[in-house]
Amino acid sequence: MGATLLRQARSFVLNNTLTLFFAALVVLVAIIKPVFLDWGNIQSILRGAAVIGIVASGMTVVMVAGGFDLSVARVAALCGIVVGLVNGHGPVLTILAMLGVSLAIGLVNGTLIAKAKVNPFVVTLGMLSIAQTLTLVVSNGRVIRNLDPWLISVAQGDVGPIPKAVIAFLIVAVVCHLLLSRTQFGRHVYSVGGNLEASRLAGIKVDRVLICCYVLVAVCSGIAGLVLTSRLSSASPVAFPGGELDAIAAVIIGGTRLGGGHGTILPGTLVGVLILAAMNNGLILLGIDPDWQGLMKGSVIILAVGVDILQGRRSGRIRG
Amino acid sequence: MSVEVPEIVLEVRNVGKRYPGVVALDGLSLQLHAGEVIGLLGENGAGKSTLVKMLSGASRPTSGEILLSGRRVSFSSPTDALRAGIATVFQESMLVPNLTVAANLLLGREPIVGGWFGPIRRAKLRERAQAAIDHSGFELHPDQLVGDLTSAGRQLVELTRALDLDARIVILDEPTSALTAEETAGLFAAVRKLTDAGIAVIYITHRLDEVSQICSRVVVLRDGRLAGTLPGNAPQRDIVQLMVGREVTALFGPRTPYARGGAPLLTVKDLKIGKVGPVNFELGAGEVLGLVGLLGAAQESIGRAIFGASTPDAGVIELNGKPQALGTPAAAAAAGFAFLGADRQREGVVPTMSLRGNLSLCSLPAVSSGPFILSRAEKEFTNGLRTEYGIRSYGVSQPMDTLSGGNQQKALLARWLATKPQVIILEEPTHGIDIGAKEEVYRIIRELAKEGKGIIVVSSDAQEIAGLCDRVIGFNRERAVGELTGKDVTPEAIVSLTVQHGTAETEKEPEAA
Repeated sequence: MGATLLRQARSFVLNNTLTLFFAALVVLVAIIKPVFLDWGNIQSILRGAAVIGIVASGMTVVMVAGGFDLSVARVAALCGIVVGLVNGHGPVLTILAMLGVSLAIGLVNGTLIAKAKVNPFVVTLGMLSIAQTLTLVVSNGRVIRNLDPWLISVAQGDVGPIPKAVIAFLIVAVVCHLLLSRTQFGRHVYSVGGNLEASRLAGIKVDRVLICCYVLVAVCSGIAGLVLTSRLSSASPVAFPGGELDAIAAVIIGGTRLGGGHGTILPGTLVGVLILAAMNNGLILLGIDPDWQGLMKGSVIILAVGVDILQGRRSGRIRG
Repeated sequence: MSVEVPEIVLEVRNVGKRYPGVVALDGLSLQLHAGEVIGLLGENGAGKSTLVKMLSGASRPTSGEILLSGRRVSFSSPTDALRAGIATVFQESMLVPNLTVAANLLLGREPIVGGWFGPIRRAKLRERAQAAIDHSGFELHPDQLVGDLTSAGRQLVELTRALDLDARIVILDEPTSALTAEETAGLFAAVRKLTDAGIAVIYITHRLDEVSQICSRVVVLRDGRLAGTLPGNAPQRDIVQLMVGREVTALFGPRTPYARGGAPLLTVKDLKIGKVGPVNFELGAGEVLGLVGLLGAAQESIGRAIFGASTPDAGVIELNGKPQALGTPAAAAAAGFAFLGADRQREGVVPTMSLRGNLSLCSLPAVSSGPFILSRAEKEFTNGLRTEYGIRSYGVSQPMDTLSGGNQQKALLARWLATKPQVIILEEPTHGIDIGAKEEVYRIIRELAKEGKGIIVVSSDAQEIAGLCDRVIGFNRERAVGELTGKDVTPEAIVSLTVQHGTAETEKEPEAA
């Protein structure tokens, strides 16, 4: 019994290094700047986390399956522009258009990766460029303003004490989390990410699993685009710069392994997203020049992957 | 000069190698004299490759010691072994195909101006390579790309490099498996050149007829131990006897002879996979059929093609008389087939998941309600499998990659058997697992046969095939060459079936081409 407890304690510390890091970060900043824990400030941290969090939720599923997607931020911007163009026709058509565009992109990404076996880096880097061009062409390179009030009310304002954008994030995160942790599809995602060939030989339709993953992350990006457009009251063709890297960073900081097979959305990616957002906010509160923020972000990512590698070595040692 | 006893260049003393759950080598001792060729024989898993890995610096023994010319050595890398004078020519070439012969010969030893970043002196490189080739006396051109050479040519490059490095011991790992008869003769000539220069050669092969041609002694390994040593000209029968062992073990339990009755469970008609085939056979309910052959022969692709792990080019597969539209593992699994590949780590285990996830992988619908997996149902289901198949772990939550090989294998069997398949295809079902787990796997296979399942076993372990199978089909590279049934299924008969036809094949090849 004692040995089991010890093992559980050890594995808790090992598996939750980042949650513990997050707790330390919060405590540290809160001690220096108590305003950090004011509800107003927490709201602003959460608002900053929402859009990245929506993308990161879908990204986690893809990365657990052993892939990743560089096109997410440009897909989000493209969907934002599409939303900006058609929102005059009402919510139903707008959402259908957003879903249509993101579904199509996800299908193309997934099919090329799963069926044609093109490297995900190559496919999604290509898609990044294609989506970027489409966005510029469709928008004529201009920012779209004059959005319908319904669209603006989607993600602006609060429900009770909680910002609407955060609620959107939580809904997406919970849905993705349930898909990943509770369904047969999710189990197949872990299996494919853990050992693709063994999964295929166990009768899993590996291609279908992978395509579904890429469709899911593209749809999450589409939703992110809609929320972003609503929050900013405008659709910009260059919206969400560097969003793909922030999303991937959040997933990695949240403990998802680059090689696939391991990772969670709740708590993993949620914590990753919060660490990034809280860190940005904390650095501003501490009066550190925003130019320096990238340094912290980079260090945390490397730290996260370092922990990942240390854990990997550990299990390697057991295997002998 | 003939009375002079040659120096002992290599001595292996009581060397052992253990992996978790597996004893690959168990206290092996042998000596190698300058200028001799010893044949190293044994079935797959007997410990040959483990020994080669240790001698070539790819792994270290867990016990015992290795002495070179009386001096104790310990290699931490292949470079160490090479520097100490042991050169190994592996089955798969270790050369760089897009470099020239000269560049490969001097790889890592290029004449350079200045330090590591300095330019290579090309003329000097070519000159030194030519000198090495002249010294070896092999027909090679320094400017040819290694990628354009035949397998035989590449081996000559590797041998030239070994000579140039002043290797005292050369290990050849199944060098003739990809060679024609003519090329084999050429290789033997090259080996004689090495021994004339006082180099000792360890020659690993499956082809018994080669042994008498080239080897002065034969060392046979079995189950990680030295089974015996014979002179090179010993009759093949004696060598086979040593390879399979004499003890007719109780490992396989009592068997009731299989009596064919009724329509076949599985019919394979004109199955073609690349050059292999057409293959035709039937499998009855409750029958255990063995497919045997040398490494790289047709038997390896047949089980895979039936299951759809690789796509067959032509052929019909009927289950209970009904043709099956197969071609993918998913379709085959749905139709009632199960398949366990030879490479357990690559093709079976999902190392990132727990035992539970691995056990339920093929049976998720049975423990789900709609799309959702019912956690409690899954736990009960997998706990049941764990008990039924005697998988030793601290619980179903134990990570799969921390289980021993034997327990992993039982888990993979359990994963499939939970789907109640009708035809079970097993490749090397007990490869690299300990004797206790072996016994349990054999018991499971016998019970499946009793339940009326059809079982196909693809194995290179003759004793295993003999102990398990009611019928055996032997294959050479491309097609079936013989069949054994009932009492004729003995380890000796199986080995001669594969070996004789394997060698007949190489002799025929130049005419066929």
